[in-house]
Amino acid sequence: MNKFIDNKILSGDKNQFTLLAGHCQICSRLYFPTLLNCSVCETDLKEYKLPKKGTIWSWTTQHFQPKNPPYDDKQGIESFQPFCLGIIDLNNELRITAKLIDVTTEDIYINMPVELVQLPFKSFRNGNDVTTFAFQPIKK
Amino acid sequence: MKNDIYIIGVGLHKFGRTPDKTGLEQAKSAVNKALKDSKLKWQDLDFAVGGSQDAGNADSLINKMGATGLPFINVFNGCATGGSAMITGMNSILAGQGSLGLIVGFDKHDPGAFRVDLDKWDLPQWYGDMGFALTTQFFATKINRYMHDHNISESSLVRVAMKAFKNGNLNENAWRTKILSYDDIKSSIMINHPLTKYMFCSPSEGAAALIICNEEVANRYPSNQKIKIKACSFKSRREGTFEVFQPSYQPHMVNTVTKDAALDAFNKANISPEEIDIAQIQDTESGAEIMHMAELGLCEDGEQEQLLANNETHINGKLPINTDGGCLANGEPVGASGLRQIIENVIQLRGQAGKRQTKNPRLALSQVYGAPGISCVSILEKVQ
Ligand SMILES: [Zn+2]
Repeated sequence: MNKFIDNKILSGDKNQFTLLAGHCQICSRLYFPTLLNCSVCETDLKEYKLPKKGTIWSWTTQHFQPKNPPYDDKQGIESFQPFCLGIIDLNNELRITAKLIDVTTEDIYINMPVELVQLPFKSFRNGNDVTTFAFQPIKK
Repeated sequence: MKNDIYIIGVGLHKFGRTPDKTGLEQAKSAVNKALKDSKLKWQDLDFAVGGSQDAGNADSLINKMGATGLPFINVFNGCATGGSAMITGMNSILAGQGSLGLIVGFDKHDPGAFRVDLDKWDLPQWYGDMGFALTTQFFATKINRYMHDHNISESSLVRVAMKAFKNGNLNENAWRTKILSYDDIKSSIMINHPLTKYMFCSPSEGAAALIICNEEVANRYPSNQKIKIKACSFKSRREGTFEVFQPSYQPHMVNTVTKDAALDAFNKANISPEEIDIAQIQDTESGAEIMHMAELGLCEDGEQEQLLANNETHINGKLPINTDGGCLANGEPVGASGLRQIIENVIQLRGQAGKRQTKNPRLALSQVYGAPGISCVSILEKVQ
């Protein structure tokens, strides 16, 4: 069993890995991260596996080290490297903020197809090795 | 009209860094200037509304100004605090709390990007852990998509910043007054693609105060002193908008919160956006000014490229924007920023802006924006 950065948003193992949202069965709204109940219908939300493939709706880079706290990436705090992040459109169901790997500012573009991948993450705060998520270009 | 509200006094404490003064001391200085401008004393006020993020409780000002029993309400809405102070003050007059009130905002922030308290903004821990709790990323992704959709080039981003520092140079209360060249801005270090260092504003210090009153009190003032608040609209985001500090977004988009606030303000004022002569717009970064221009209805999406290339938003252009240098040249003391915009509009409408005076403006708009997606739009009118 993997240890995730937050069990509310991620589930599975090395092979089967998904992002979890909450789905309202009355109004079909999706919540990421999930809530206790639908903020409109007030009913319980059902666990929903978000699509693993999507496209980059928009992107940017993070060139300076964010303040710690809240930033808690041990590797980043010890030797910060700029990274890319994007707003990923998941099959027009939901858009989420995610780190992008295996891309450079030269080859990245809006509408680029990307897929969900696991990313090792070391927490500075509690010294734990956990798994988080990122997206990378879909390899042909 | 009976329910009209006027601004009869304004006071600003210089923005930037004032190491020898606390935020509250800067606020006191702004309040005293506003009282002097309106020829009033602290004892004349019926109520006060104020806000600050990092520089203390606004109502502590009574220790410095006088404990007179004045009802003093504290408000806070992040970067839009100036807007919430203003609308709370106006509502106080309309509700009969009094006929004369003080609106004050001030702040004093540490250098560098704001440190985000995740709990305060209802954000999950992992979002902060991974390095997403930064407003700058939001603005960068928003303008990157906007540039893609509406053919806005990098040169427009540079031009907005160039104009800001040019105007800041004409403003004795601004923080950054050095004129920067196209290349200075374009080649400064990248912060969040496509935005470089000089395209972003920084947290700073400063204070701003306004005296507002009802029609009856305004009648005692000459017409070139009082400015009418034609409309003020304060909105929070609706479901389906792309706004700051959200881990996820609905793909089916509705009007941004700024568009909503602008439509409401124009409706209340019963005027159209084409009638606006000057505007002070939230320019957290260059791209925000560009996008807010269209969201406010001041131009069409994509039209900004040509307007900026022709310097139409400069002081002598068709639609002067951020005539005091905006957030880019003044920095952003969160509590004071929205009121700084309104004060600049008052000074411009009175014709007291000196070297940066625009040509005989009659209607002036201001817009302040903040997390988690709130926007306040005000329209001021010169009394003829
Ligand atoms: Zn529902």
